[in-house]
Amino acid sequence: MSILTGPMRFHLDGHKELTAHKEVLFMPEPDDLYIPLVNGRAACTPLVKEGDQVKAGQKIGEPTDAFWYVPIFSPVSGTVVGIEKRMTAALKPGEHLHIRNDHKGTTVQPFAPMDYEKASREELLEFVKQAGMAGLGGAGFPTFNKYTKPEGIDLLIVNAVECEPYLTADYANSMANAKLMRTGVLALLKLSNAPKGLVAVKEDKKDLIALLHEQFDGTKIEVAEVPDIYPAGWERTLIFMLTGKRYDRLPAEAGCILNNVSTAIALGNALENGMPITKKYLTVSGDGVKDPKNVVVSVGTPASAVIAQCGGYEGEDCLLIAGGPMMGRTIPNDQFVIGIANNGLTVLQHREPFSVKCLRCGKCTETCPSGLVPVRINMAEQIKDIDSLKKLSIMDCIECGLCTYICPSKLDVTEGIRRAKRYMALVK
Amino acid sequence: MKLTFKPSPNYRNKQSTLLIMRDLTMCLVAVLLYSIIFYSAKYGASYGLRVVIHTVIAVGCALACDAVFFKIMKKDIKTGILSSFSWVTALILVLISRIDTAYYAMAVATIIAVFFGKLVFGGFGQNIFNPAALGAAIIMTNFSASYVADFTTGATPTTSASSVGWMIPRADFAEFIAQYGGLGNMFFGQYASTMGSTCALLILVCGAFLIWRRDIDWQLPVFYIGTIFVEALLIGLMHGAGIEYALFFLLAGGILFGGVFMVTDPVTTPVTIPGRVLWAIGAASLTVIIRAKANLSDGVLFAILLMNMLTPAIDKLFDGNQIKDAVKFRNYVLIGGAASVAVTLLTGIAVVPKEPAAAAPAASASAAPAAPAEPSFGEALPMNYNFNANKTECVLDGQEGDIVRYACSAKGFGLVTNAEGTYSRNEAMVTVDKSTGKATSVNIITFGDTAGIGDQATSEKALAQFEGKGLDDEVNLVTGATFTTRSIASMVQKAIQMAANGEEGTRTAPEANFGDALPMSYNFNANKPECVLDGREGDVIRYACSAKGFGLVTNAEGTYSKNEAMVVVDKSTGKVTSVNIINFGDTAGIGDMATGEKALAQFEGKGVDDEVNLVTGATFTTRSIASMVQTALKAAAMEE
Ligand code: SF4
Ligand code: SF4
Repeated sequence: MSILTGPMRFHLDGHKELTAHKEVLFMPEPDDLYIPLVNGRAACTPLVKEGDQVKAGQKIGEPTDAFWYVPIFSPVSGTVVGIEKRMTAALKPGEHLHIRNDHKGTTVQPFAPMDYEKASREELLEFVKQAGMAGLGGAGFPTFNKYTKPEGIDLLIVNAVECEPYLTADYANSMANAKLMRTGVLALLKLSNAPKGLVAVKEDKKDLIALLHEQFDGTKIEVAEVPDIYPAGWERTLIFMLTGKRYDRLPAEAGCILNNVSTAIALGNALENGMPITKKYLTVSGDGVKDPKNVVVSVGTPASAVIAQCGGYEGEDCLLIAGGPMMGRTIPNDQFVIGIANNGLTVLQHREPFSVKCLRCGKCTETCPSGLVPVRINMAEQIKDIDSLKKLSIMDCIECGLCTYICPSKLDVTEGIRRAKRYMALVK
Repeated sequence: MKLTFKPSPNYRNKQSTLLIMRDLTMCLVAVLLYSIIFYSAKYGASYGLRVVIHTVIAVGCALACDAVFFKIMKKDIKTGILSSFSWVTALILVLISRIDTAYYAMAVATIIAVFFGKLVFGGFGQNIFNPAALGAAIIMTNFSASYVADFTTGATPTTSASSVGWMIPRADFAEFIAQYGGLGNMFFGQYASTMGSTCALLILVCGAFLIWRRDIDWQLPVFYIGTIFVEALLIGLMHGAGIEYALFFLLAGGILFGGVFMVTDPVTTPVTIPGRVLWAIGAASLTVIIRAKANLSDGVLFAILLMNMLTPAIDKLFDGNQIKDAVKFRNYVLIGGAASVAVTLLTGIAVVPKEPAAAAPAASASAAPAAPAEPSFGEALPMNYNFNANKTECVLDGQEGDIVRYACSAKGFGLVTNAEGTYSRNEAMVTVDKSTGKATSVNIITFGDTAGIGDQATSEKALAQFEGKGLDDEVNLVTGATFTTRSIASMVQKAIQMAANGEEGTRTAPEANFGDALPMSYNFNANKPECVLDGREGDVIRYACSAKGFGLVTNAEGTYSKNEAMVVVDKSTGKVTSVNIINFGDTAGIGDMATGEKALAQFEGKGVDDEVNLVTGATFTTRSIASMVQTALKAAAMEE
């Protein structure tokens, strides 16, 4: 019935050329690092205290929860200055472990490398857990959790789509670390028990596609090209495009497990080199930064230091966005630090669009990947029409931002839906 | 340097409402330009100018309304106008109005459209009704006297079709459609209608452009136009009409224009796709029902306005998740759509072709022949048939004993508008024997219907069948010329009735009014005047002349009627002595004002350097006559 639904997606101008083919900058380690004690989403207790010496790779935080289990490792060697409250990317104050870099680079291997082909699935799973693997696409979900009970899974999908505009970090990471990617993807396939896997990539990234074929032809992994549309990289849209299936809650209902390609590369790095996630490929791009490029930075580096490495800000009034402009948050303060789940900083010059009243064009409805009717949600929210809001299944909104993007009247449609969600949470 | 907070996303598509409105404006202006060119070329520059003036009035009033409103609301006027888009409403309003709409009516309609249609609801985006449709509906229903008679273009296909109940059986179709030069002609816009509903091709191109630009979505126009086509086709089949009828149904009137420019108005249509599809099917069905059943010439506006009222309910019906509720929503569309199509078809069964097509279609297997041959006779037509629809009039013209001669006229079936209404008139001399109450002869004086089709009913054989017939007798309809046959029969009937009662009737002869000056040295090449020497006495020379007139009647030479006149010129003075019309080919009731005694008298004593005056409402005929006079004057000057 595609006549009765819209495309539920849209081609965005990705501006990826700004950074995709520029040389990646390996950023010099800063003097001071602030490691968030909430790693991804896992709250951790510090394993070190003020005055302790730490080595790069040393485990310094132990998660408090067995489900949200992502331990913290130190990116550098140096001294623990203490635990400090700083503003996080979530715009809330949070505890950070302040480490002063001694620039000596003394390293320990927190765990031994592993040959995933020889290891049993259970050993591999435990390895993934202990190595602190987490979803690096933005969610920070602990990776091992997805694979604990892989029943009825018939497809592993490795997401190299990177559909957010401006971001090219996954791309640059994949291009640079093909071997590690191969190891990581094949290890994930083993974990998933699936008969085959797909690496999904946008059809316009020809060089990456060639590289993927080189790595995976002859294995159980196939390369799946997807169109250059947003949000092709979102789980539901991606699974629908690849398998034609929709699901209610978890991808497993459609027989799929999904992981980000950066996660696979990090796993490859852990398996081959015995190294945890302490560095991130990060895209710094947008018209609000002088010299857009991809950088490799240590977790715990303040955003201000990263921006300074990219020539500083351009323009007088900027929006600093952690992530891409669609789903990333604007943060009116560049003191927050890069965490494991960050993959970009987008800096845009701030211009207020000329907005007019909603013309009820329905474009938001046609493009919403969740099948919502954003315009109706906004209207119902304005008059606090609870009955309608209930019918409009607002909780299915993934805040992908397409409805605001597409709105020709330049309204903040997505924000209206967030307001509706908050309102409904209150009245419940 | 400052960092600002803005909730995500912070990325915007280039397309804006302003750009959408710009595209829309471009398309509307294209249609408008076509209209200006078409009217100027076909009816003269004053018609084209009229379209321009209408536009200026409407857009001016719309902007003024906005300005006043935002002034009162204490908002910035420029921003207000740029976010109110009332000029689009104004342009649409012009394009859905007839060219003979009075200027003041256009102004009132615009103000109603913009103010009551839009601003009182809180401005752009809040209105319930399509503002242009509202404005137009108000002029149509409340200002019916607001049409000016000077700008006559002929009955539009919609008024003609509506007067026959939107049902034209196959046998009559060729005759009917020939008035508009065929479907192809209608497709390319060579016919008069509302100012914007002329060129179907251009409108469709605009629609494709707007869809390609994502300014409008495709579901609304496609389902609207598609549903109408299917319904018209099915109803047509029920009544023995073919696909060409369905095409005519689409091409006539505002369906395509409305489909592209009005049902796609996002503000007043539902916001979900299934909602839009259902809305479009509903609007289409209403359009068909209104055309077939209601006493309105075109259903598009009222269908849109009625559906506008349902928009909030449809929106509510489709509240939900378009993915999870897809099956439910599809069923709503299928059930709702099927129901409205079914109702339309049921109404369609009941459609009876109205007068003047009250009789069943001529039962001839072949469609109406294109070339007039021997007339073939179809169904019987009783002479006591009720011919009211033909508005027949007769005047006593002479009497010899029991034989009375009446000059009669009756509505025909052609397109040409005249002072009395929207039909061409046929005129005939009917002689009746009072003693027997039977007709003795019928002669056609003026044939106003479609040449090549209707004129089969004027052939000798066809006319002969009236001889010796009284009110209790029957004649036969001429196949393919049933309208004309009825028109003639109505005159015979009237003459017999009047003869029996000894009535005389009164003639309402059109009086000529004079307008602009026309120099006799004017370049009349377009009229292709020709004169041949017809006689000479000394310096006085008589020429038999002919020139193209303006009627729609096709003849052997081309697509124009011809007028013929005898022009007598005094060679010694180089002036005209007299002009007599031999054959009047233009539109009776209009052009013939230029052939009245008073009108012809003005040529007397005129030379090539003099001027005459155009007869108001019969300017083409005046020029046609003047062209013959000029040619005769020139020819006389060359004579020995
Ligand atoms: S933000 Fe929510 S409502 Fe808007 S398009 Fe994305 S999923 Fe749909
Ligand atoms: S896209 Fe914007 S203008 Fe269009 S219906 Fe949605 S909210 Fe209204």
